[in-house]
Amino acid sequence: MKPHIAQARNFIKEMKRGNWAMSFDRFDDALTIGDLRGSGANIFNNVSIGLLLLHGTYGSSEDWTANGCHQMYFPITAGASAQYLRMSEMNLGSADTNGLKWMAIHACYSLYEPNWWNMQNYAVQPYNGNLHLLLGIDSLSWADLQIQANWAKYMTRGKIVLTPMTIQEAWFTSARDAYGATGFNYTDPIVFAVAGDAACANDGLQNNSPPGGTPYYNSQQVWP
Amino acid sequence: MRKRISLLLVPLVCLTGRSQHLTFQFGTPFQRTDLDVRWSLTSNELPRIAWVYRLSPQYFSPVAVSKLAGLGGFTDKDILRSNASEITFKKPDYAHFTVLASLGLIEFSPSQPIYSATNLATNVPSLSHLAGLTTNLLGELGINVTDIEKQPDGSPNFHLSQPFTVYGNHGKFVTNIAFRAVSFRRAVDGASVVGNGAGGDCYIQFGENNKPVKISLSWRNLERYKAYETASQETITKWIRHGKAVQGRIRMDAEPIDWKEVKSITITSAKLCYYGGSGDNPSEWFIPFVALWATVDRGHATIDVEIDCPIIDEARK
Repeated sequence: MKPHIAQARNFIKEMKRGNWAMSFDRFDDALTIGDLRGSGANIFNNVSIGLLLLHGTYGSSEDWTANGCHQMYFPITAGASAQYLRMSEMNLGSADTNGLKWMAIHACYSLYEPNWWNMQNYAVQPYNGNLHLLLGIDSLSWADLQIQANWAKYMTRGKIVLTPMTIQEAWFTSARDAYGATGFNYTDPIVFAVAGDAACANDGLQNNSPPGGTPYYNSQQVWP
Repeated sequence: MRKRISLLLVPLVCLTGRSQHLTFQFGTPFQRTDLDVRWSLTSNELPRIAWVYRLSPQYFSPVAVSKLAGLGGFTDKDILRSNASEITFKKPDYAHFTVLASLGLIEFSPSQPIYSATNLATNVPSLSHLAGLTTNLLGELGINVTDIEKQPDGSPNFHLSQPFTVYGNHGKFVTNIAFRAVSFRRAVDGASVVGNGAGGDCYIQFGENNKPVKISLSWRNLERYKAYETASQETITKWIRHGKAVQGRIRMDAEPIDWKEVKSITITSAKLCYYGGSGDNPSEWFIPFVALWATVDRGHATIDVEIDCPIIDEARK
């Protein structure tokens, strides 16, 4: 099994253990760029919580299709070719009862801080007013089979002693634990981040607050 | 009668053997009996002898536990479980505090103030104060700072970080630093302990007025059990080829390693480490292993990766 598929399967398994039902899973070419664009009704908007695993990078020049901001990009493969998805195209969030509130993008630089604030300055956002939290990475990241399983477990049941964590805290703690599980030297610090609405910073899967309209960005080094 | 005794003895022997067996709960297993393994160590850091350690519960000072409960605002009415080896407090807002002797575990996560662009944290300790605060806190918990992994100059290897939150505020951005953090690992005979939650790691956040606002500590008691001769390079090579080692992580933007296609691996460094399992599946032992830094030649390109392998050669004990 390919590592990213095992990673996703481990996440699904732990969410199911926490009594969450899976709406869909798509791997490799089964996930198209149209599935992720807001103009095509991003498929993640039909679930409460979503996880996207892929490569990512950040731009170092103005993107004139998005008000001239600096932003992030994700290559979406289709057979032998690939197209870059602009983060600004995603329109994450849904007001439906079971619509998207929390979205995680595990990709290098998916929440690269300088570009994130540049996007905010140019009023370019990958989400609408219904998204509570967007969880991502501010640095390079390393593939790990356990990291998303940890996240699911910590959100639904807690770390060891059955006390669930907030979604944000589980994101940071899962990464700290996964990257701390070996003596591996990753060379550079790994930094995870959470962005979204400040009123939702302490959201958990069972208790959450409606967005209040104040954006925030939280950064935490998870290794070393 | 003889048959009955045999049936009883076999499981006992198996249990004893398995109890000290190293099982990696991380990494990706791989095997290739004709793998070309080359050694090019710049220095050999491996000792000739490595100890296996037996782990046992850690009972933290009741005074220290009580002090932490008070700091976190936990009272008797918040107690979720309490027995001889565990006490867990839990509040409705996800705040919790657990002390678990079997794992030497403290998970301290009290209720957090609600910060905003107009309500910023004040009097948060600077990075330069974290080492002192950490040393004092560990002293209260009965942990000796000399047990921590060391830097080359002999000082504790504290990893310091400064998490931050930025709030949008009417077109302006306001940065809040609610806490600063320190993380570190335990060292045994100079070798790092890996595996969070199993007896040798700690992460602490210090917030306003130098108070700990999060502690995630696992620090079991240990005692030397048995010394083993460490394996030779030839034996390690054999074990790698026969699937006893695991491959470490690679960057998310790197192509996965297809071991069937690999031309050779060149090991450039070797470091002794200890493993006590994971928080979910802890071992009763700290078992030594070797973390090898290797350059993998894929034919069309190379990639550096950690390979973790047993180091105890039980045949030579």
